[in-house]
Amino acid sequence: MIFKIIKWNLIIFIYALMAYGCFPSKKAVKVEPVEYQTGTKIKTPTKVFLKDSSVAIFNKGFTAEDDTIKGVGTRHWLTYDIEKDHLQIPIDSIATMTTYQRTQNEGTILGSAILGVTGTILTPLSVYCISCPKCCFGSCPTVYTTDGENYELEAELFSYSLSRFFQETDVDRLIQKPTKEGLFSLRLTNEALETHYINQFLLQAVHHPQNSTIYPTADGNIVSVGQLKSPSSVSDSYGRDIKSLLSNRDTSWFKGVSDRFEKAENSLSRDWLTLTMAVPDTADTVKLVLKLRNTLLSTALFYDVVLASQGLKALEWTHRLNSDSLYAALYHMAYGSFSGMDIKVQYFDQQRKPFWKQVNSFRDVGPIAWKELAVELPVYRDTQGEMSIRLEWFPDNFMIDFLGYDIESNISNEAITSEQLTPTVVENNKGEATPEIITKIAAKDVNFLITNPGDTYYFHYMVPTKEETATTLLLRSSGYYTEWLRGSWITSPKGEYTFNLFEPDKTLEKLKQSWKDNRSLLESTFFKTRIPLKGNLQ
Amino acid sequence: MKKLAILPLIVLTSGIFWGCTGSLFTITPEGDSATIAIEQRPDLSAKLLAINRKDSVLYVSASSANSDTLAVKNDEIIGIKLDAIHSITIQNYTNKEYVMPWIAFQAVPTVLLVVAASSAGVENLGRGTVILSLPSLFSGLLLFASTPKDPTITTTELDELNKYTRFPLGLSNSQLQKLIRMQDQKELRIIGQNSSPISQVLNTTHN
Repeated sequence: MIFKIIKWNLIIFIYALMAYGCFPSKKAVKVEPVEYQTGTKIKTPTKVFLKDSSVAIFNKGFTAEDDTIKGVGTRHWLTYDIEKDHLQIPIDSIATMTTYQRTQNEGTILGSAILGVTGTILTPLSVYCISCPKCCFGSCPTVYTTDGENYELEAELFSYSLSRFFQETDVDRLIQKPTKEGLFSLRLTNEALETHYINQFLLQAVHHPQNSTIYPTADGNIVSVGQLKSPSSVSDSYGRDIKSLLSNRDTSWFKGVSDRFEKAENSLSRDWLTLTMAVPDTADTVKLVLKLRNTLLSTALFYDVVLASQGLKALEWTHRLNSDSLYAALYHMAYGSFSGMDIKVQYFDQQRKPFWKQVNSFRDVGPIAWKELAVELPVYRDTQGEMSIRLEWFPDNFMIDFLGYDIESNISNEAITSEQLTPTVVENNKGEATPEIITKIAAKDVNFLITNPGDTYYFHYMVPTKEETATTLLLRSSGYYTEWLRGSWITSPKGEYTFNLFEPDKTLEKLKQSWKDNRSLLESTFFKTRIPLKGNLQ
Repeated sequence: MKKLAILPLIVLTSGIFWGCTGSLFTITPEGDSATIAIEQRPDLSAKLLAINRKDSVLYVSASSANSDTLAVKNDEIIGIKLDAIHSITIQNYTNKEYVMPWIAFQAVPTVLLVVAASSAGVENLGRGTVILSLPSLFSGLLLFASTPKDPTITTTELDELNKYTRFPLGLSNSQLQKLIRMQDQKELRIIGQNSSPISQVLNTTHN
């Protein structure tokens, strides 16, 4: 972090330095030649008016020596000019001189520095965004909740559902609470150049003991946990301790080990974290909670590698992905090797040799909104009474902000009740009531709410509360989305590579190249352009 | 590769700061160009030649840009009565070279971003546009407001005006005649005589 701050400060300093002395205006100053002492070097451009009405020009200044001034310059009379490398003019032949000084103030320096810094950011950002608006301004159905004044991004729905065959239930835990009166509003929007097919979109109120917290699991269930603890150790794939980085929900997070992606040889290459924690003899499960988000690697894979490389054929390919179930299944399998997070527990064989066994997994959660997920894992203690867990994923695909575990709380399922809430009012972005969509999103069936770019719906609920219990709101959704063909995909020059599902090595090679070339730009543009939009939503 | 990746940044930065050192500082032997505001007449663009204090006349070499407004020819040498001059603004002392980088690297990218946001269906585009425009507006306003303006001089400040003329020591009759002959002029027109609507034709022998 410190190095980053130093780096950015250095960049700003360099720009300020470049800006200093930039766009100077000039000022003519009349000077008398006798003011100069021998050896004085004047570096500013100077115009020397001589008594014979000629004028000498020293664009690079001159040197005063004894009773003359010398320098490279030109001399002009009414009817002819001369140019000399070593123009020498006696001081007593000079009538007057004008020097041209640079003038600049704090305002122009600051303005130049802002122009330099923001121009360097804005220009590539705009080029990127105009070629791929979605990459900058949205992806998948996004959900915003309100505190009564502003809408804030809370969740993105089923980001992995690129085809109707990939539909699975996605559950998001909402942080925003209802008002004291139980009123709760959220906004569902399509901010991308996509068509969204929303099959189910339900708000679920879960009532639970106040000393517990409810988290969704990857398979659409819920888990209640008590006080979360940090593992006794958390290390990255090079064994470096990163426990403190993941102890709090804050603005610093683990992005993976930087060179793992470069070293990836195939889609099975992995980056990982290893956690250890002491577990009592009585425990048989541990509840692990993660706050995580995808990087834009999967976005780069889908856009740059899969779709853009196909040009116009991307349209046909998208149709095939939604009509050919066998091809969709094969793609899902291939995509799966690049996506998701495997959760493994360390076991020991009969010779006490350790090995990792996968016990669960998370799907991709999307690159826009952080998501908190829980997983229940079987306990397997080593001889020291500790348990080791490994989280594995394709390098560069995930960011983790927080992880914690709970092994002690024992909350009865009977103490937890939940109810599905029906919106009291649904409105579109014009404020018109649209009750007909409630039936479309009520269940996983053949009815879909179909949204196009810019479509927005507001859902208003009355959330029931129960005395002496806490209420957590979960959003349960399923559906899929299809991409619109972008102009740049058709017009951009195609290289030798065209996506082929059955050439995973070439896909990886292309992904590595694309990610290496575009990662910084993609990340900076994506997030910088989204941040202002969050606060602007009404 | 990392070294290569920095090349576009260097190119971009070079583009932004292109010419920022200013081409104003290449000086020529001619008098400075100026816009002369003349009482009850259109402004005149000209290069300043000399002041004739005795007759209260400013000699200038007119610019082609004015050929229609005051019926003067390109490079025609004319005199303007100092009484008739309201003010003289010397040109090319203000550095306006920030305009092109500002347009290319701030205004155009901002417009492109707004277009991209619009095509992506972003709501509240108005507010987004305002936020996106802030850096451009801020830098543009700062540069515009803080860049020193071209000096403007009145005819009561003749010593100050003299700095910008080609002949700060004044022009002798013979020099003036030579100049006029060089322009193939047969007469020297004086603009701004009190009794004359626009000019008075004088003999080429003028003191």
